[in-house]
Amino acid sequence: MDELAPALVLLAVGVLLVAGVRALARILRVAPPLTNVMPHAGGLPPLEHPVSRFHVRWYVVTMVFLAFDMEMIFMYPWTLVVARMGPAAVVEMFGFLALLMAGVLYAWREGALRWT
Amino acid sequence: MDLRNALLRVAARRPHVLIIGGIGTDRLRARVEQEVGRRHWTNAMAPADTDVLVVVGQPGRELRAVVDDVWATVPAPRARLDVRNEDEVTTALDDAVTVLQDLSAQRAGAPRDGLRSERPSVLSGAHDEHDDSSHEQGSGHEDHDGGHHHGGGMELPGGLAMADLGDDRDGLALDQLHVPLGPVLPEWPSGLVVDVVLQGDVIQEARSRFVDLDDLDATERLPAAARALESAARVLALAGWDGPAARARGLRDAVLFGGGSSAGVLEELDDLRRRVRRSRLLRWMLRSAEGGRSEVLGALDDKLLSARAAVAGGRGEAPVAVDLAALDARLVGAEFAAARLIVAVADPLPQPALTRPTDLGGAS
Amino acid sequence: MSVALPLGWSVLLPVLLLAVAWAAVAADAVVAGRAAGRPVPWTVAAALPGREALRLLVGQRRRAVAGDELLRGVGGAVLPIAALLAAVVVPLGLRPVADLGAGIVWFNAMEVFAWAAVWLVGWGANSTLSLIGGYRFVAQGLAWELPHMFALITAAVGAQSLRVTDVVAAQQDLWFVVIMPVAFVAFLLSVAAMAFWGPFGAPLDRDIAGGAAAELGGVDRLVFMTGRWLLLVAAAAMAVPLFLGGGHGPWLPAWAWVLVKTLAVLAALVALRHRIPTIRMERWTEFSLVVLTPATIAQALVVTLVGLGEGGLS
Repeated sequence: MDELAPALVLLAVGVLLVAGVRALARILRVAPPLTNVMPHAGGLPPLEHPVSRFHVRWYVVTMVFLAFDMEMIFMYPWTLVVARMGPAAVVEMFGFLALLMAGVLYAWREGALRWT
Repeated sequence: MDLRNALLRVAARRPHVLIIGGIGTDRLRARVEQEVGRRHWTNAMAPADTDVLVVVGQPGRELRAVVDDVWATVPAPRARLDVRNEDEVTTALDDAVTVLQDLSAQRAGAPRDGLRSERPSVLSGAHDEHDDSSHEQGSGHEDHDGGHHHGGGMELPGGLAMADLGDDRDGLALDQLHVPLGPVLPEWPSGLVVDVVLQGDVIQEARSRFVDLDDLDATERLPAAARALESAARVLALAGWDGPAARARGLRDAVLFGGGSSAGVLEELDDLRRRVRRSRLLRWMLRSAEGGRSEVLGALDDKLLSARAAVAGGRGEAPVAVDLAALDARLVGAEFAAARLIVAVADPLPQPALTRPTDLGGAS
Repeated sequence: MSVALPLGWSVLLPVLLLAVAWAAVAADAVVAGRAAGRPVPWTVAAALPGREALRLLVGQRRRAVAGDELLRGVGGAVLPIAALLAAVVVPLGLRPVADLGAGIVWFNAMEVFAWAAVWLVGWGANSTLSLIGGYRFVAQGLAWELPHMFALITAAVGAQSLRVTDVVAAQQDLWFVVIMPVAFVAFLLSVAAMAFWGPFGAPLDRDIAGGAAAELGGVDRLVFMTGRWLLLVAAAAMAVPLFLGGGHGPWLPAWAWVLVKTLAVLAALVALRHRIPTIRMERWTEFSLVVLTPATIAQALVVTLVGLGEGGLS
């Protein structure tokens, strides 16, 4: 916990800095905020609210990423013990990574990694 | 108060400039851009980042309404200028700084509510026509649910509806947004508007038109070399290659306003062309999805080549008029960044004989 | 054993990062001017960051029609704060502000906050172009994060520790960039990518009129843009302890070496930025996952095997 103390202090400093800059701007700004701004897409008014269900065409990439991200959670602690565990740990980790890479290559062959 | 005055004076000395011009204002716009660059000022990308709004030429009815709408969204400190001819450019920009530094005027003139000041102009005249036509266009392709339901009768903020569902190319039901793109966008042909139906960042339908086509009589066109260079600069800037884009603009200025010998221009043009051709990254980023030869890159090289021919004294090939209908067809299915490149490459010329029948078809 | 600096450095760290960011913005303006064929005098460039900050401080804020002000405000604030917190583990010399046992993981976690921040800012503006920009950054994150994490892990494997000071200590004789060049290059690319800056600036690019930041005015824009530069500086500074030997070096004191190396990394990034066009994720993702990720995995494997070999000998 002692370790984390400086980080927590810095978090407070960061929050204070952002709040301070915003307060300073409140004093210095030439006018109060402009409200109800129409979104800009070229000057003509939009017909609908732009917040919408966005077509995320790269959703397959998110799946691939998720698989690797879970693997990372194991790999970070693995770095600490690999020297002690020896070759067995290396074989297990990189065997697992090889399996994941096979998945990536499969997704690539299926054309999932390009979306134009 | 004094402190604020002093700060404003420092801050206003290097403003960000947004230039708006209708069809036929390219030369004047180039002159303003040149002056902005000479002063090391910045070109704004959108109203939010704008300090100085420069309206070049004499905008027609619809563009005037657009300028008013854009002006309503520019935050203070701000200055709005009308530049009618090239002699005014320097003094107008000098004046802009004075306006920006005037604290009391800025406080008094600051916009407060985007809707209250903006709505009347939005609902008047030209915009109504435009809105109607895009609605018809939208509903024509949405017969299964009978067009938009404007929020089920509930008053939504800003008088805007919510996006409606439509099938995408993979058969998923996703929101469709009807967005009029332009005429105020970075690296965008003057006066062009493309009404698009977007799903995510993919364009499903597109219909392009020019605003205020009636004023076409007054149009003056850039010389072939300058036009090709301007178009090439847009493509390069959209590809995110700012240095070469600025150099292409510098060459355009040299062609338009003199400065620099013809031999010097040719040399630099060759240099630019070599850099563009050699960039493997550019080729990779601009190549078509199928992996074949890049149309965009080919067109870019053609533009630089025709500019060279025109500068060298030969008669540059007359610009190929791009049919707006052909542009629309090419935009369908394009991802947003690709669509912007397609528009920049096409660089359509406002030509009433070609565009008017299709353009008025929906509105009348 | 913790070697963290006194607590007061938590207050000093933001000042240091801002100073380096100021220098980076000015250098960027100079190089941009040269690339454009219109040189910017260094006096203009040096004053530029302050002038822009003042301009935004006196500027009016904007609120979008039906925009999500709360999310946008949170997103904008998260960006600089995440950058500061990421920098907390970077040794300023041989001692960091916080000497966390899992410092590398901490850095990784903090910098990923940018994903949420940019997306929230893009979403909150209720603008089509901002929304496209926000989603572009999420796609970008997915593309660069894997090589980035393997690059981090490779450095951790080399030192057999997740503590950044241990990583620096392990480079007393040999900088890690020598034995893990692939990881270093991948890390350098991801520095620009995580700060959505330069060739990886598509989320804020011209074609979408400023993208995620398109609707930001006044202090909102100032906080967001400052956060972006802080993120770039923090990430560039992290390359020093991970790959460039940290504070180790002859003649100069450790803190000076860290500063010099950080500036060198930033200079390399700025120089690179103006030589190449924007990298689009719909092209890059394929390369990132099919070439860069296996390459960094192979790099991690090589370093692991070398480490095991040495361990077996001693």
